[in-house]
Amino acid sequence: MGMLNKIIMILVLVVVVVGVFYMMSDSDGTEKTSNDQKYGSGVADTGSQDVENEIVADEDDIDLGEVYS
Amino acid sequence: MKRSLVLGLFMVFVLTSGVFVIAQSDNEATVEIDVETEAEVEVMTESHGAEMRLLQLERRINRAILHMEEIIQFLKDKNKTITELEPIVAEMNILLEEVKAAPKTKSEESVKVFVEIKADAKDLIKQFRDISKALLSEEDKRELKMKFDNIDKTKLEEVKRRIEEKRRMLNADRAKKVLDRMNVSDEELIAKIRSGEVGSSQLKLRLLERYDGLDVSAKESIRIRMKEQFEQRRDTVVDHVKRVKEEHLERQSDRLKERADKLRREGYRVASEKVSVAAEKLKIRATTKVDAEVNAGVTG
Repeated sequence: MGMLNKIIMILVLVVVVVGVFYMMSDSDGTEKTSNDQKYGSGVADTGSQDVENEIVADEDDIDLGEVYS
Repeated sequence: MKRSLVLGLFMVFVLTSGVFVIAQSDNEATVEIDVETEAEVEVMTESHGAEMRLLQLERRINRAILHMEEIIQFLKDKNKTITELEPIVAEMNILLEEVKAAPKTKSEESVKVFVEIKADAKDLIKQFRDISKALLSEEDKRELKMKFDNIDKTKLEEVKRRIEEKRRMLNADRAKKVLDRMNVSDEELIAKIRSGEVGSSQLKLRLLERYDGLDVSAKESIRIRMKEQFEQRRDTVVDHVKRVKEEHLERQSDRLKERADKLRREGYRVASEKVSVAAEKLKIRATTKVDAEVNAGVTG
């Protein structure tokens, strides 16, 4: 029984540590970049999408957040 | 049994805290370049795009300053303490000067300036928001919203007009390149894009119509050439972003030092000292990083 508890404890520890590392890698920019999303793995799916992507939309703006929430 | 459970939980706590601390210190050492920012700098590989982004940043900073000033006046009228808020506005005004003075051409420097100033502005706005949150009630926020609607937006409108102009120029250049690839010349359309007669949505439709009219081999040829161009731009952006990260500590330290001097000249002694200390810390980290790289080079 004692040994079983130790094994469970080690497993919990491993899961938590792996989980935390996984979350960290999500937030530190190792995820797909915008260019990956935009161009896919190097290229957009179709030529018509490429043509569309060339044009900058009117609503394209930058976001700095609001001064009060 | 109980002892091993407590010990186990303690170990989990210590390990996870350690991981968080390491991750946090890494984040502090690098400038924030999120997916959004990376996408934004993509147009800065063209001159009109670089100018458009810097003007957008200028407009957003200006807007935030106007709102901050309105909030400060509102809180002053209510006899609330605003000593922590005023230096933030002073720093925002320094950022506004910096963005106005930024090189408005397609260059690595303009990308660096955009990324750095944007990150600083976001940080200052967040600081202001966090402090003002405790000072404003829901009723105050409703009142402020109405005040914001009545702010004189002449400056913002002027910058907005210039942003639109740059966007039209950028789209005209890009449309011309797409048409060239289709072996089509349409000066009338290009002129209409420049004058604003044809907007971006309409332009997309017009280009798609032309594209759909092409045969399969022509479409494929365009697709390949555009892929090459996308990759070229992506490489440029990746290279710029990499350099921003590499040089961040040193550059940010210099920028903060200059900002601390300006704040001191404007009479914000406490804020100036705070910024000066931050600059010094970054300088030490930059020196340590360089030393570590030199040592790695010697041993490697």
